[in-house]
Amino acid sequence: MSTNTVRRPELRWMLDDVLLPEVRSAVVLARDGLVITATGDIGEADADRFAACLASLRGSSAAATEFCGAQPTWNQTLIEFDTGYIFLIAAGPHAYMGVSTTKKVDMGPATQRFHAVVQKLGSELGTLPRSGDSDRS
Amino acid sequence: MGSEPSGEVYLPDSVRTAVKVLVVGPFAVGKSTFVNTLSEIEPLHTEETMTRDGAVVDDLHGITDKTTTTVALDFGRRTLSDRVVLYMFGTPGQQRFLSMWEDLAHGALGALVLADVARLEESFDVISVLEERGLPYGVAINDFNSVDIPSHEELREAFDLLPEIPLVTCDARDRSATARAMISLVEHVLASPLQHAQESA
Repeated sequence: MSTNTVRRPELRWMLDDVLLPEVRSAVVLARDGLVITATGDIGEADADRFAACLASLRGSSAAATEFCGAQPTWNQTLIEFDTGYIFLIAAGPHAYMGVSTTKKVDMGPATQRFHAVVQKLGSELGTLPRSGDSDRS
Repeated sequence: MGSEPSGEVYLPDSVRTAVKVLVVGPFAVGKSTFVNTLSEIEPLHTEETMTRDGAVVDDLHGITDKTTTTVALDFGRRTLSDRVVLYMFGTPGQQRFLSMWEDLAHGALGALVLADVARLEESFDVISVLEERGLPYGVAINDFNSVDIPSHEELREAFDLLPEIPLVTCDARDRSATARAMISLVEHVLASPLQHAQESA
C-alpha cells in the first residue's frame, strides 16, 4: 500500500529563517494536506489542523483562478485578521508553507524572507522521494 | 488554534503510516458529525450559517434543525493501530463545491461515502466521481434517524455495489460504530489492487 506524506522533522531547521520578530509559527505541508515539518512552537495536533485548513485554503484559491485572467498560476494567498496575517506560499510543485504572524509584522522584509525560504524548501523537497504523492490531477 | 500545549495529543514515535481518507456524501448527511465523533484531536470545522437564499439552493426538504453547513473542510485525526494513523478530510456536500473537492482529494487513498437512508440517491453522484478517479471507497449508511433500514442486500442493489465494496450501517454519533465503518474502508483500501496501479502511475 502506498502511504501519505511522511513527517520530516529533520527539515525543521529550514524554517529557522522564517522566525522573524512577530512571526508566530510556520508549517510546511504537502499537497495532500499533511504536515511535512513545522516550527517547534506549534503542537503536533495543531500543526495537523493548520495544515488541513491551509490545504483547503489552497484548494479554494486554486478554484478561483478562472476568475483572474487567462491561465493564472497561483503563488500565494494572504489572509488578514485584526490580530495578524496568515501567508500561504507555494514551496515547489507539491508543497506549501503557511506562516502565522501578528499584526505588527513588517510586511515587506517578511514577505521577502518567506519567499527566500520557500525557494530553498522547494529545491530541497524536490530532491526527496515522495511516498504516496503520485500526481493524479 | 486555541488548545493549550498541555492538552496536546502527541502521536507515539512508532506511528509512521499516514493514511488520508475522504469523508464524502451529500448535503446534511452527517459528515461533520462523523469526523467529530471519530477524531482524537479537536476537529477542524469550517461551518457557515446558512442563508435563506442558500436554503433554496440546498434542498432542505425533510432536514430539520440544520442551520449551518460546511463550506470548506472538516478535518480530524484518529490513530487506528500502532502503525496506522488516519487523517480524515470531510468535504462539502454541495455540487457547487466540487472544484475544491478535486484539490482536497489529492493524495487520498480512499473515501468513505456517507448516505442517508431516506435519500440514498443523493449519494450516487459522489460515487460516480470516485469511480471515475479510481479511488477505493466504502459506503456507510447513517441511520441517525432510526427509521427502518433496508436489508444490506437491498442497499447493495440500490447502490449497485460490487461485492468487495464494504457497506456498513452506522450512527455518525457513535464512536465505535464510526470506527468500525472506517476500519472496513481501510481494510478494503489495503486489499485494493487499484492501489498498486496508483503507486506505479
